[in-house]
Amino acid sequence: MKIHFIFLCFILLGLITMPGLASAQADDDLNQRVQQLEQKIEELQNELEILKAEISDRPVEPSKNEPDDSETLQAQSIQPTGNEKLLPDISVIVDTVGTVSSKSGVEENRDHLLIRGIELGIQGYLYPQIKGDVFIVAEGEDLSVSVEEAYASFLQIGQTGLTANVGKKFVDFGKINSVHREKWPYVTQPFVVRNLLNPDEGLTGQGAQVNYLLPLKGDIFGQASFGIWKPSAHHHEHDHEDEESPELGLGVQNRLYTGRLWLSKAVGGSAEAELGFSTAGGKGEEELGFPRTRLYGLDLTYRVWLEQNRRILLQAEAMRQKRSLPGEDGSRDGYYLLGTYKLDNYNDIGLRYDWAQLPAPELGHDSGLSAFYTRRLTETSYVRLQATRGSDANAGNYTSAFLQFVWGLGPHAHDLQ
Amino acid sequence: MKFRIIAILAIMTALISPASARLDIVTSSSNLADITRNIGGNLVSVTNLARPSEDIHFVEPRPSFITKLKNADMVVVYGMGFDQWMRTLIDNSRNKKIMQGGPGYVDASVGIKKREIPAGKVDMSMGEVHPLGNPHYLLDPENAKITAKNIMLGLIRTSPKNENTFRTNYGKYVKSLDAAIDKWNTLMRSHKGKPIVSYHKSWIYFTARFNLDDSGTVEPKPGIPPSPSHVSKLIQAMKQEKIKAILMETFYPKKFPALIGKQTGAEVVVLPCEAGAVKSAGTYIEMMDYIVRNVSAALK
Repeated sequence: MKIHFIFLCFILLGLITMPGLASAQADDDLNQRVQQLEQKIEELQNELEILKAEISDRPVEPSKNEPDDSETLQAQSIQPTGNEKLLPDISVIVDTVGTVSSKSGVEENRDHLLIRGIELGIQGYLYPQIKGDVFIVAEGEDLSVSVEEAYASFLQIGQTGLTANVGKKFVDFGKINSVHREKWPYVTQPFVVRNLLNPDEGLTGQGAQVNYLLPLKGDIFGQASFGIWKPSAHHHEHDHEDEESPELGLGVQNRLYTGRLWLSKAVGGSAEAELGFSTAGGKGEEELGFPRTRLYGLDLTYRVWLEQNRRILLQAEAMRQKRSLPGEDGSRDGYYLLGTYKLDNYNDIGLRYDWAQLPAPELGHDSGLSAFYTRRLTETSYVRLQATRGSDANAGNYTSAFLQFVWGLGPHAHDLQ
Repeated sequence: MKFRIIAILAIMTALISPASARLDIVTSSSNLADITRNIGGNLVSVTNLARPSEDIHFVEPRPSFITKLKNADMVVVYGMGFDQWMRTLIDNSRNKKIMQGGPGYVDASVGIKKREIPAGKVDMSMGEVHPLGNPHYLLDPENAKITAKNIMLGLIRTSPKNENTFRTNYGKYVKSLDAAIDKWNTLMRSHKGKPIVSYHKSWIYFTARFNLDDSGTVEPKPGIPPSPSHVSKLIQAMKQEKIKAILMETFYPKKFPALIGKQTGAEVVVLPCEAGAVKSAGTYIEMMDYIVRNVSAALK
């Protein structure tokens, strides 16, 4: 009996307090909801004030009764359609180089100031993660026009860490092959790149490349790239007077395979060290009997950013080309060492040492020491002086000097290099 | 039986995701990092890319920045073309969440009342002009509230379950900003209308907020280095108008401002424009406090 009574009391107690609890809970919910709504009202009021301020800042449109001059009438007749907002980024870069040299047969266009190249860039997004880049160039003495690059970049393929480039582009080999000439810190190409990879601005091909961002731990960036290309024929001509100019470059025809592993790590808060391994290969030229040709590269870069926009760059790149020629040692080597110092946003100085053998079956090597100074006029233009003291395999010792003027119009963005 | 229950509980514990891990946020600048930390609190882990003493215009993108972006939940950029280098990095990050248009992409400039949007034809004859307007908007502390709101909304999109916390933190941050702005307004009131000169055209929001007269720049046009003829004209003008202060950021060369200061008697005030650029100004509010105090002292 007692137990039943106690039990009943508990039930009654529960019945009395529960509505109170429920009511208190309901009050809390209502209060919270009121607070949320008050916050939203405050945010909307802020937005309203901002919009009102923007409207009041707009210029007052002229009254329709006021007389207009013809320019205004013409302007008013051009109604914006919005299509102009879908235009790609269009830019043009002009590279002019003046060359003097103590020896003929060494520098192209010796004793002339000529346009080395005009590059028209058209870049934009086709889709949220797909970009298109087209670069049309006019180069050579007659400024003949060709497509330098035209490729689509797929910035993310699924959730895989893969990206891809399809079309014609500078292949990913070494540190500077894919860097456009106007971005070089010097006037002339490193000898090893000219002799063993490509004597033009760089080795291009039509095909595809996939890039994989390696899931490395910590702060280490790692990207592996593989490409299959039909290499472009090069159109570089040496100005040799007496001798047949050696055929420079990789000399792979029909199908070129490339691979690159690019690693990078921050060193402290203001430096970065990069290491790259590259490989390329395919069958060589018919004249040489289609020898199997391989190129291996190793590149190192170290950059330190200092206060007041100063920066030190140290870079080295070495390559070995192997051609399987019967009865011949088809191995050829080359390298360059580079140091640059950015004094401020306007001034850069640098030194580069080059040493590179000629590709097999040629014998001999080229070497040289170059010093350069760059004065940046604006973000899109600069003037550069370079002096080179060198030794050419065929022409002997020489001294050359270059004056370069690069200017550009429009935005011109490049991928991370 | 007991052993089976313990084993099942252990497996379930291992499979249950850990109590919400912090959101990974990457910002382009230390001002944005500081504001993000204030809004996110201990729910966020913020990584900043540009060093505080670096000129945001000229940061060189590095491969190691991509490692920070590839797993980020959210990225905060200045926008308005100020930190255009972030575009290349975000494009290479393979992280759809933070690409433009993704839920984790925050443009801190949305809603800012932009100044100096060039009208008519825009080209480089104007110098290195910003076609979308002057991007140095965080030098007006009122704009920091708008930026904080953009960051709050980004955090809410990224982690909706923590909305209340982000809103509460935002409210607190805005209150602390308001208190600081009141103090700065009081300090600067007596300098209303006074003229100043700056190295680069980056102080327009600051001078508008505190009613100073932005009377010229050491650069003849944005991004164009000072020329002797322009400096000579500037010295004449400063002497005539009795301009007492030349404002410049820590990363600009001091040569011409020092020369101008010597010729005119004006004080060269070297200022941070990012939190942490000077030791005693580690946060955005401390940075603005440093700026206001030093400008006020120079104008006395």
